[in-house]
Amino acid sequence: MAVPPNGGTFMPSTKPVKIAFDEKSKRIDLVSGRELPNYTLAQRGSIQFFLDRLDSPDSFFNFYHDGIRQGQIDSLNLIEKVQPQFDIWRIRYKKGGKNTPRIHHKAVSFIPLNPETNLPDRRVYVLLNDLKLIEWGAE
Amino acid sequence: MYHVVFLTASLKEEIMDFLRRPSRRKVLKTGLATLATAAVITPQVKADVPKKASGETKIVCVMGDYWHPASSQESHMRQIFSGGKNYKVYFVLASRYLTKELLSDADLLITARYGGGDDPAWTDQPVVVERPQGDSIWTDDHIDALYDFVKNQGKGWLAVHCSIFSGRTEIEDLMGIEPLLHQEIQPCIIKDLNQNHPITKGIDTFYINLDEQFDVQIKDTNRTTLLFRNLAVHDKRDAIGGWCLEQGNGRVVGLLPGHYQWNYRIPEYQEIFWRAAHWAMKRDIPPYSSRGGY
Repeated sequence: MAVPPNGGTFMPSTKPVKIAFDEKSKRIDLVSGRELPNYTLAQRGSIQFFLDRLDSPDSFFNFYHDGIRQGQIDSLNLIEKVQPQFDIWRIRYKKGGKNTPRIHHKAVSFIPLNPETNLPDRRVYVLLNDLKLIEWGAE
Repeated sequence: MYHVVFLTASLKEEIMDFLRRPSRRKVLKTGLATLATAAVITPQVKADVPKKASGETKIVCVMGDYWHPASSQESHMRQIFSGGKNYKVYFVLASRYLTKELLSDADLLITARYGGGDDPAWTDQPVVVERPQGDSIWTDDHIDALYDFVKNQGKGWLAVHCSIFSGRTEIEDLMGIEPLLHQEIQPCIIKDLNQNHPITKGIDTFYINLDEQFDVQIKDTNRTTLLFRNLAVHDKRDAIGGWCLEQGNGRVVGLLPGHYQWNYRIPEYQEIFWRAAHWAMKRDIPPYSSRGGY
């Protein structure tokens, strides 16, 4: 019988999610208009995608393959920007598969971890194109 | 490792029935568990691997799936190579038969298959009520056979269209690329044909009325030659459309157009196939001429 490493219960990971802003991004928060620090970590579970309205968060993004498909956050290892002029990102799934489609969701929100204190800052909203990487991990 | 097992007709039929409907209960009931298991692990029960004749050029094709009609691809491969003296196209109908043995005397392999199951699955039954599950392609055995064919035997491989989405890093490495997905189906312009390479020299810009425009990132630009680019008319993506490189003792050509049957009807693209095949086989390239076809 497998014994969980924490001695009793299987706990979902609380490890922060890695993010990276694109070097060309001005890192402007879409709601407050303020310039954001160069955050590199986000609180796990806080990431949301937005197809258009910022009051309608999704736990997935749409992408085009042979029609519209969905990338559920829970299934993702990482997404990394490949051809930003076409919104094309490489998706790597936790199960090992990958794809390089055009992502339709335009904005992303997350609770960043302050680079100095490592504590959560206020939730921020940026264009997906402001980022070049979101890495949840393979787990 | 594959084994060839000779069986009586009735026993063979029972095993084929098992393969069509692999229910464990049925296997146990018929008392064929051991033999059936062996048949699953070594699925070469029926294969008579065709050997090439003396002086023949053996071209093995593995093409077609749910999205890409094998019947038209087969028709056009036969048409394109019909002008070659003693050229014979061996079209693989089930991926279990893409083996080292089949490739052992082949001169060229042409693939247009993404990773996954054969769809539709091949069956020797004239009428089917229920299709058996298709063989998987790009298994470890397939990769082993492909690497041996290209790198060791020094043969040629034309990797066409969806072959870049094999799902196997080893195959991407052999092609020398990282795959990028197509976008919406749209008209495409084949342009910037390399005038310094025998595969594309003298061929001018041409268009494809509709295609899935895949793209790739080249892994080693020092070892890879671009053959042409592909401009998607609607979204204006300017993508790589064809490339070639040496791998071990062999040669690999990537040709990305090819979603629909009409891609293979375009005279310029047919000529590129013809030349690419000869370049990959390290042969002089005879003038292209084909017989018939749609």
